[in-house]
Amino acid sequence: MRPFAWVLLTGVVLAGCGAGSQSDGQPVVFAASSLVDVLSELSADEGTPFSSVTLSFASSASLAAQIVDDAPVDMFISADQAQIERLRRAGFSDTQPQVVARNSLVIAVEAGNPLGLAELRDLSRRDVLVALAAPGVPLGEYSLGMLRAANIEVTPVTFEADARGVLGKVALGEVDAGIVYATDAASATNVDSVVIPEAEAVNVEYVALDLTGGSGAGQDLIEFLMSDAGRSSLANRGFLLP
Amino acid sequence: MSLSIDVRRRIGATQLDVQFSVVAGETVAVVGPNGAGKTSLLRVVAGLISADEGRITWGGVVWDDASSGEFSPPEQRPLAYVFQDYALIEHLTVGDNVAFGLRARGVRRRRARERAQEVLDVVGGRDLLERMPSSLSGGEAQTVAIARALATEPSVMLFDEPFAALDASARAHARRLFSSMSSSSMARLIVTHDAVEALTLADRIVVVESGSVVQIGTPGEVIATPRTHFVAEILGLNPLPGRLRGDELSLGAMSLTVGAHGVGDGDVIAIVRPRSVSLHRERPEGSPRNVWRTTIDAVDRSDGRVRVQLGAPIPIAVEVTPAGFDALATEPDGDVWASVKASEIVVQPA
Amino acid sequence: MSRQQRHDARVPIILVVLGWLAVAFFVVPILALVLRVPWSSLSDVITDDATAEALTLSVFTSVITTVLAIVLGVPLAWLLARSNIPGRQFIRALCTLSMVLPPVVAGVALLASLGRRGVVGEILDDWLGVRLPFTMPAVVIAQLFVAMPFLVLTVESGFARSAGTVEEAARTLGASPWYVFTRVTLPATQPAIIAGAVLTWARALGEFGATITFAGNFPGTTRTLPIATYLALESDIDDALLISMVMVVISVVILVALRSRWVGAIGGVR
Repeated sequence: MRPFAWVLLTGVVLAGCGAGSQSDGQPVVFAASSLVDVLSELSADEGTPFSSVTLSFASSASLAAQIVDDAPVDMFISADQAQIERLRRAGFSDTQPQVVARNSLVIAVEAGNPLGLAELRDLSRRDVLVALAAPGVPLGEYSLGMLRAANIEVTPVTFEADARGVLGKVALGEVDAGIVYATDAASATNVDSVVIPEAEAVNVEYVALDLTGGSGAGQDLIEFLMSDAGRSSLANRGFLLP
Repeated sequence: MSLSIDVRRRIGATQLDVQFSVVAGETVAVVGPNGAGKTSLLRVVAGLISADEGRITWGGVVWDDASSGEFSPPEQRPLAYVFQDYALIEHLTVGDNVAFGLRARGVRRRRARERAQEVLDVVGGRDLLERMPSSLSGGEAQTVAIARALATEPSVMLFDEPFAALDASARAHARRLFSSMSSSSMARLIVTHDAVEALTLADRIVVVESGSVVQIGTPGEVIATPRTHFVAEILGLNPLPGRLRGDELSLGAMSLTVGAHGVGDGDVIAIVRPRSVSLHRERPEGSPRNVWRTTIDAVDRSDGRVRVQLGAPIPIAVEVTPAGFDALATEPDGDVWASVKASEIVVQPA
Repeated sequence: MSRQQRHDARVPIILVVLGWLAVAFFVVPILALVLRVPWSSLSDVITDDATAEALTLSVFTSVITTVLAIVLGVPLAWLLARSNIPGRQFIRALCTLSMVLPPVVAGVALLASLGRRGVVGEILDDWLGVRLPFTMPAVVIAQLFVAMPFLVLTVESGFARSAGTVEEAARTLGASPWYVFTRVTLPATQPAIIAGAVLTWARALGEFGATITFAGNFPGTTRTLPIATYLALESDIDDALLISMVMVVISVVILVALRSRWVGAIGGVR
């Protein structure tokens, strides 16, 4: 029994030591969740520099936290200006952030728009159940800001953690409407978008940061996004161009 | 009033099929080896399981009738059951345990408590009142179990192997208690594998083999004329298979002379009671015609008697007094002479 | 260590090593969390109304969930342990399925059944005007759905273990089946019930995925502490850490207060 115990122990310790090694040396990109469709498409395309890139999608806050923890990342794209600023001030990037895409807000409704919602003001109707993103997350800040600017008071039944949550509630029919990014609504099934004029005043900008902790591939990737090929991919997915 | 039992019930591989009755004031012991279905019989009488076929009544009141479907659950039968493991309720004190049956029937707490104390007094367990079941010895636990059963003044009391788990002194105390609590209005049914227990406690004995009754009778009757080899063996009566010709019994290795009997020639079972055999240091003078030399295989001194197992040529168990045995002054494995009177050998057809 | 301690109980060395490894596995992350917390800002966060509201809601709903889990779970456990209902294994599997499902999936299941367009929910809405999603009862329902199996399994094992001659003896003494259940079975199973309740409460308190999916998130009504923590992660990690600390402290206080007497009973050890 004793020799077996030592073998087991040694194995456990070695496994622990081996766990810290890094993977294959590909450039790493952290991006906000809204970009998952467009970047994955680029990554699947052999002809783009994104084909050899490792992508990671999550909320801007958790991605930024990982960068602060010295994760080896080459580029960070997000619409959360606060996180971008925080990283710059902490010295994780020494180049100017560049706007690579823009998005707009739309009202998401169930396919077919059964309640016939046509404008932002409709959301304050007593009989309309609304889902919004929570304050503190970028979508939430933008949505609430837009409502405030338009002087419209809306009491949602729920503040979701992200666009996915809002869309989920709309698609399941649990709420009648929600405010999400145009790109999210476009890629979701069972959901129709209602375009609203008030969205034009809201400037959702996706900013790309070339990070110092990376291999230096960040700048190439940013340049590709600003090129015609990159811009056309973004436009196809519903993004507005800078 | 009598408890009339007519039960057929399948339990696992055994088919239980018994008919007998117990009269109020009487104690009946059901004897058989473990696994014969004795405990199951008690459970059917108690109503914890039902009979497949048959009928159980008490004083004419039907407790279980398989054909009509009438069935009265245990809580409605005026009985009490003392389990082999005593089944005391662990989170209640002894006093609350004894009072449990009364409280369950709606007796007020104070009255139930008083009655519990009375009953504990009767059984000699007064100082156990506030103890917890887990702190009791085997004997104490049994005393409490009996008190708890008595407290509800049952008409029928059922006992499962009442003395099996007790040591010698506790057993003696329990036997005294048992004898003292008999009452003319209560019917008692005991189930045991220990024949001596049955013989000393019961008014009548029911011997069960493989689920069926093989003999019913008073202890005296059963000992005098055990009806089968099995009964004799159960009672520790040294059954010896042999061949009878006239008054000569051939047991293979040697022959014995038997007294008057009415059995024809042929294969027989001879019964030699342990106390009928005498042991001597030297070959005895005088009359006994059945004398042989033999060895002592084992000696068991317990309960104030000495049980000696003899070896070849006739391997039987003999019971002598301690004084008598000491007087032999033999060593174990030593030689000894045994004798038995012809008139003390009972023969029955095999 | 005294000579007595060293020699009276000889424990195999492999158990000691692995055991301490397990302790480290649990303790190190908690310690790391504690070290990361910006304790200086603690007073700001715990006096924050929003946090206090979320805390109150979490404690309130988790306690109600635990009570309901006992009311519904104990009978279910009894049925599984003692009755002869055919297909018991299958029923047990179904009832504990929610323990295995990802919580968000459980939330979707609740929406599908009790939501506005749900199988039952639609009937509730049309006939009774009752709408469950986005209400406080919905929080309880979500917690109950994922946490009750813990109580059912623990108590079922307790009932199975306590079955025996004591209950039969009680019946022969004249106790009705209900009297036996309340005076003999339940007290004997009490440790298992308490242990199950503790597990259920803990699971309910920490429940997030099913809650946010079925009940949503609205301050005061459905914003529980775990949801508040998760959202704080999105905007301010420090806030999230501090709120987490509140949860850790509450949990530790409760578990210690109950002492090993109850928590140890989870494994059947008294």
